[in-house]
Amino acid sequence: MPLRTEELLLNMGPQHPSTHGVLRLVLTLDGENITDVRPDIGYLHSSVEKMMEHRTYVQNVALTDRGMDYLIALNNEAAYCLAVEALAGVEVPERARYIRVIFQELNRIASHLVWLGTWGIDLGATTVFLWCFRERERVLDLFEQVTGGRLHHVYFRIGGVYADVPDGWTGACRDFLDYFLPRVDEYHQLLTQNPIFEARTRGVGVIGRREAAAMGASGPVARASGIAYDVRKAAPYEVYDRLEFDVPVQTSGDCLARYLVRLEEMRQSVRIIRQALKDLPAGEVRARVPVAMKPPRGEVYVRTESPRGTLGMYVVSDGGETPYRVKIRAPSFSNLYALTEMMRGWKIADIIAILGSIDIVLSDVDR
Amino acid sequence: MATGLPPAAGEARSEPQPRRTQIGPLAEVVEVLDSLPGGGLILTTVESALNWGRASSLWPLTFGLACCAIEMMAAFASRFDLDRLGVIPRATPRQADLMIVAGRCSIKMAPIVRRLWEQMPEPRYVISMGSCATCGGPFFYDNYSILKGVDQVVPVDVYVPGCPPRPEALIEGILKLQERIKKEPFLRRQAYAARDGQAGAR
Amino acid sequence: MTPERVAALLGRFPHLRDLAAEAVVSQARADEAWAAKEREWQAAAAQAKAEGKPAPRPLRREDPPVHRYRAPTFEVPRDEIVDVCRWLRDNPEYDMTQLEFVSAVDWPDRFEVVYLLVSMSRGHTAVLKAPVPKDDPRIASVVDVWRGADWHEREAYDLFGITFEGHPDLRRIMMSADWKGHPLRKDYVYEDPAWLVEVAAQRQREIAPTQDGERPSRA
Repeated sequence: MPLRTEELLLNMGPQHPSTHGVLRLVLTLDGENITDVRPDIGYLHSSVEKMMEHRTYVQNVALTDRGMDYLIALNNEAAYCLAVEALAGVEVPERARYIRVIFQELNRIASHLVWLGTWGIDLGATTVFLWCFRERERVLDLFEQVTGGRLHHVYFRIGGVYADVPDGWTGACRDFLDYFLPRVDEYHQLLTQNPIFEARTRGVGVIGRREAAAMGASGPVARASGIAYDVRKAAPYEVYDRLEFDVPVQTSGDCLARYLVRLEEMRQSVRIIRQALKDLPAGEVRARVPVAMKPPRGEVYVRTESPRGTLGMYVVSDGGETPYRVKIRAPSFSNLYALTEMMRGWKIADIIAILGSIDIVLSDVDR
Repeated sequence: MATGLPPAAGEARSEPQPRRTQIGPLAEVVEVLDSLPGGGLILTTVESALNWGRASSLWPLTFGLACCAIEMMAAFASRFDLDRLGVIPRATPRQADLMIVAGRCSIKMAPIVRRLWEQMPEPRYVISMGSCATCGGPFFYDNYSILKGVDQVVPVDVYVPGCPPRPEALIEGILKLQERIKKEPFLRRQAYAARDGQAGAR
Repeated sequence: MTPERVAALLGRFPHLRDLAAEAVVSQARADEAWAAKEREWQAAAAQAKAEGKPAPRPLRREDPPVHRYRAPTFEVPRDEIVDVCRWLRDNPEYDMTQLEFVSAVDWPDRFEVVYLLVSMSRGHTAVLKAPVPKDDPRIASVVDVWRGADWHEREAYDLFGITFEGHPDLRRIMMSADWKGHPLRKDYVYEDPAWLVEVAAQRQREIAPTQDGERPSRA
């Protein structure tokens, strides 16, 4: 009797400790090898684009925290506020723009720490998780002193930020940066030189430059594949054009490259915050904007560099009090699509490493 | 299951059957003890000892939906450390006795939450963490995809308010649940449920 | 995008409309009309003053009904969309290697399928808009041009009900497969799916108090 092999269809998720949320992967397996992967998303679809059409421009800031990527609430707020400011022609005071940059970069650090910690757990390195969350709590403390919230802040407003930072906060922030920079080296010592970690990540889940571009990948995923593109450099917003920083790029396109890019980004964020704290001008932090603002008819598309990639906001106004249409260009959505290319041909044990390395947040994918 | 909804929904449609637990002889012991003078006291003492054990080793399901899951993770991590309350996350519902519904639950996800809850062994508890899981929260109005409260599909024991609740709030919720577990007539309920179930079978 | 590139694009595809330029023109026209009105009013006011009459009512400018665009925006006929996209991608002058998103806007009289293109090397963006009629929402898929369009088109199909012809796997992506309606349309009315109504009713029965007022045991 001839032997016959059959392909196995395996469901992973929506409840799985390593899918980072409610993602379902439909895997086609040939033995241990993955021949095809089809992500099934939408389990966290929260219809935020519809809700934004029913709320005023000012109210929507609170929705960007919750309905979009919840790990980077401040980056979402920044993208939305920038879009509405461009639409309505609001001029943001200088000090507010610097404060916004500081908070966006702090949020980038916090977000990368969550990613590193959870990825560490996925790969069996629980220590990294505990260390990363230790540092993250300190970032959240800094947030809390100013915004009162840990995750959802509603701190950025159209025309600036809600309030100035309290006395002594900049000092506390500097202290944190001094404390944090050596910690990045510790992560390197803990992981980068670890042979198990290296074996699980080097050369795993490679995506080439051309494929990454064609599939719409952005952010650290694209930069790890050799696409030296960062919206902060290419189309600077806020005050990024006045600050000096490098865009880390790797060319190998594997999990290790994505990891190295993010670790270096944390260092660069520290650099940016230090400069912004040094240059922080005095003055107002908020322009006067009517609560029931009515931007003129028109549309605007604003792109920002969120920790996960290019975060775009496409806002259409029909002259009314609520937006006519808001389209959120979510970086995780496109990056997750690139996963189908990364995973083909790898073993089933590599799924976790590859999935974790692209750093998706399902709330960002599904919106 | 191909698309999400129908199979699990079909499962949920069946009426709840009286459950048969595997404590047949225990049921008789409990019944005899309960009828003896002073037996109730012994029973209650044994029960509270068992309850103490149950309350101090709540194993939640590693199951996060949205933002609250991040705060749940923070509660498990270095600063808040839920392990000291005996709360250790388990990755499979078969080994879990507590489900923390952390975050908004979409209508597409609801049958899956229900199925996970059905897969958990009894006695099982549910904490609804955050406004979204409790009532829809900020996603209540003008929304087409979020369930307005996860208690539409699973019974909830403790509601933790907040958007998202701080880790301290989640810990408070777990403490409240522990209090409640410690007061439960656990043995009697199990025994009588088993007896009634057998009677029903006969 | 530089004016030369815009001109070259319009020269290659004569059916394209440059919406941003048109908006600038109509804005200028509206401003001109307003200035004329204002001059008239000032003349009338001066005349009234000279005659000792009360001044005429001051004018109030209505918000001009001009739709303003802040990026180069082109309206593309729907049967040309694939050609335009491919040309923009392959022509090194434009080098639009990235498709940021495909989505739609539900206007009262039409759907507008929106394509946002970005060139990483040239550093410019362009918005393409293809109007499709409401009674026949079909447009050709651009998956062959950018693979990344796959999920974006599925999302637009799911939420707006626009059919992308030639798409390899056009299924719902956000909502479950048996969902009724397309939620991001303006005329969409939400109703609970039947299974949810049933499950919620069953839960109500489960938690209803029994005759002696106690909640039933936790089944």
